[in-house]
Amino acid sequence: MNRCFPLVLVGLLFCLPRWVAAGAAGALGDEREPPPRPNEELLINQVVPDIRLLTPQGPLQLSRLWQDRPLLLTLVYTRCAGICVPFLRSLQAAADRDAGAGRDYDIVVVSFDPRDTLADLEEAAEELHVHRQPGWTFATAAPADVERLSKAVMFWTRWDPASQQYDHPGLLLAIVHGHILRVLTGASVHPARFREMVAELRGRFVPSYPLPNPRIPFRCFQYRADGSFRLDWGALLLLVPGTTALGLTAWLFGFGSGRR
Amino acid sequence: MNAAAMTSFALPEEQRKKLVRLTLLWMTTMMVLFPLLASLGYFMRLYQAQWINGIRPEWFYAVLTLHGLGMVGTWFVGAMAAVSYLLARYVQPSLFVSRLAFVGTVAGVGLLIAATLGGLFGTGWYFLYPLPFYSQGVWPGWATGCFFGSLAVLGVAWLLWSVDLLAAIARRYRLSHALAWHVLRGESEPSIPPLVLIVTVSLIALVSGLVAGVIVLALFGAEWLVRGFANDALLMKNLIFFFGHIVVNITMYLGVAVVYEALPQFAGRPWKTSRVVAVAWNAVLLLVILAYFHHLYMDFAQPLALQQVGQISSYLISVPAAVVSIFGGLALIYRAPMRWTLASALLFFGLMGWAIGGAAAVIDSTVAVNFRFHNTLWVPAHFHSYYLMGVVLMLLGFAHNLGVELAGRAESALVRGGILGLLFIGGYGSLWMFYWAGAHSIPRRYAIYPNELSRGTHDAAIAVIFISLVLLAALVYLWDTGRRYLQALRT
Amino acid sequence: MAPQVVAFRLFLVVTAVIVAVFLWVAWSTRQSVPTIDLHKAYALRRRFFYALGTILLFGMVLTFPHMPYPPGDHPPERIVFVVAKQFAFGISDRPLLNDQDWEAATYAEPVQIPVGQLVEFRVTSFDVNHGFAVFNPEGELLGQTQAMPGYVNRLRMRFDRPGRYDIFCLELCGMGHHRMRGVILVVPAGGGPQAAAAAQPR
Repeated sequence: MNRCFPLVLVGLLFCLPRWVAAGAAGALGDEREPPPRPNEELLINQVVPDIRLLTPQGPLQLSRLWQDRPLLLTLVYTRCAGICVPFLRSLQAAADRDAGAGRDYDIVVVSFDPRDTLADLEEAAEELHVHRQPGWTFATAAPADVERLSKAVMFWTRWDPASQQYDHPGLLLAIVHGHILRVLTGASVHPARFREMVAELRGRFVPSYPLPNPRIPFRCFQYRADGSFRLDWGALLLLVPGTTALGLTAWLFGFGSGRR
Repeated sequence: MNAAAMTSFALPEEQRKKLVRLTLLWMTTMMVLFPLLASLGYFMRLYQAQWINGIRPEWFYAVLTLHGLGMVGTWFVGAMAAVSYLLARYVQPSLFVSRLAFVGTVAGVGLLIAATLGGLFGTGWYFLYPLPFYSQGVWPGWATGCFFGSLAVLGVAWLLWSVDLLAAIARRYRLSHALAWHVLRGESEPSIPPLVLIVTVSLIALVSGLVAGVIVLALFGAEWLVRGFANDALLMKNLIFFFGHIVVNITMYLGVAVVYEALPQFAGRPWKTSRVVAVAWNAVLLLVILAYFHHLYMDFAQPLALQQVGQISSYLISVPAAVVSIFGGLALIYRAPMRWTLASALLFFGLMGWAIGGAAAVIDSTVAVNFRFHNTLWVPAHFHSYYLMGVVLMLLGFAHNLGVELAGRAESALVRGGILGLLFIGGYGSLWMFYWAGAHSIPRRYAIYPNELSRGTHDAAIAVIFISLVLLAALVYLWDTGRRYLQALRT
Repeated sequence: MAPQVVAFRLFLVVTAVIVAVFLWVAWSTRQSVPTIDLHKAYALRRRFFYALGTILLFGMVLTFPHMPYPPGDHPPERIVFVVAKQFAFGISDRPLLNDQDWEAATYAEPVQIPVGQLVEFRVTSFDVNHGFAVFNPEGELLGQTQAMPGYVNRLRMRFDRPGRYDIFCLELCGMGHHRMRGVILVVPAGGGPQAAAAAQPR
């Protein structure tokens, strides 16, 4: 008999309970720690997938919305007995105070629950008193699209069969031209954080890059929201002194020297 | 070659006389402006010590601007005039261009005085954008115009002068020889004096700095004249500090060039362009340009890579200075049959001031330290070290020796001792008060210190005593050197 | 020990060495020789070069990790907005979007920051360059950044003691430069209603 066979057998016996346990955990629901909240530092400037939304007014690409204005996007579901309703209420209250929806930004509420219908979403909008209000869009999407979006923004859901509820983080994304500008997580939308977020959406207060000013023709760099930058025309002006000096030196010592 | 007396020249007599007269004119201007502008510094410290009452703080800031730009300009033209004179041993700069530069300098200084003392223009000497346009009613628009006019006149005059000196060198030396690249390859011929090498390096860098100044003035002008045109504050700051950094550092290097050329005649030993000297000064040409980023450490919008380049190049540039020039000067003098005069003492101890100021500069060019020292009195402490006790001493040494050789009058040990004693005690004493205050976080450029920073008031009061000694030294020096010049002009 | 104390002591040591060397060399001329031993001189210069290079390299390695630029590793626990304008600092928990906001902030109660919290000051200017410099109650400069019009500089600090921290302007900004100031209050951890309201987990 092969000398290794006993070792293999021991190994299998050692591992088998773990496989069984893992399988049972998968079937029964995960008892371990929930995945981490979406991390803003990792998500800044990431591209948001351009998924197809299904709205009461008809199908719509997400990019169609962000072409017009920045977006504030959140993922919820209507049968939620947990944070969704308080989260939406706090979002609505903050947006009401700010009075920028429909003008400076649009708010997009997407349901990740395949059971939610457009009628469910319209009812939810009515309860929030934002039904047919400009700047608010409630939508569903195909499960594959929801999965694609969730993965891209570090959003996760975990189904609990005991309560028949999804466990998930509260999430509000600020999206500009298809890129994530800010991420807000938590059980509710705090007014101060919301104000800060929309101030950035308006381009007024952005970390470490210049405020937009069409009167300035020469800058060193063009910065982006995530802190990266590329050279602008002004940077060329910084090269002019050195190149002029070198050019003048070359001319003086070359053609202009008069040396025999 | 460079161990000869300062006044020995292989030039036709008439040309030599014109050169000497013009140089005496420059040196006299420098020596007269020194106590005048130093007294403005005295006024500022008196104001900070709250010993002056009844004068509005706007005067402090106007005087600050005049003192800063005035001193930068005075020692710059003094250094240019001194190297022009010494270069005449080897090349032929144009006396006409030098006279033109003199006229331009006088005109520029006149406009500067009008802007500051006449119009209370008070942005400080580096006129950081957009402060000239935000006077808050203190200085009128014409004062801003005068100030920029002054910079334009000075810039054009100095640029022409620099180009002329570079052209004079180019008429005799190939670029590879002027930069001693053949020495890097191990060749000794042709023999290149360190003066020519250092001045060539300095002038190439200087042209780039002055061109940056031209661009800044053009951008300021565009904003002033063209409706709807605005400048980017970060770009303007980069350009302004590049200009200022280059002008100040090149003044220092030109002073060092004077030491390389003049000190050997007192030591009785030559100072040649060795391979190490050639490597050092070629490295300086690149490093002096990159080091300017150390002025923008506290602008966090500046890309991180540029901040790192700033610290690395600021650190590296200390190596040629310390290991080649300062060590070389010390080795030249060590156990030399040294002829100690006022001039040689000033030239030699000017190197010491440069070393001390350089050490303080390297420490402040550490970003983590600059976070605590930026715009405290540590900043004027370090640049007054290598200016007042560095390049000023070097140029005063040159000017005095010129007078001694031309007039033929022997030195008085008492006068020599008096000037040196007053300068050293007064100079290093006032520097100590700057360093001490800076280490205790006292801000620079404050007309009045609030109660929380009352140490600043107290330190200024002590500094006043030391500056009085410097002023006295400057006046005694002016008297002693001036009478030699008068005698020289009579003969 | 504060960095400025370390730097100052280092400077004093270096200066003492420089002065001693120069005086010693000057004194040596009393016993002159025709020429010095160049080989010894070059050897000494080589040793000086290596020593200086080592010191500078050591300085860079030691200090590069302590640059004050905000890293991307973890977000701040608190953001405070600062707008500098001739001649006062507007400091607030809310973004300051215009002159009215700035003026209101200059009159408002000082911002309160709990001890130990990582604060990010977002600093800009509405007119000229200013210098936002934070001083502790003993008058020691803790850190600074420039307030530049059209840009926002992010300064991160953590305060380890409660007290009143003064803000002074450190970039010449006009005739009122010396009287331009602000103040923040550092309160014990968890203390102060304003601090509790403004401090938010991320």
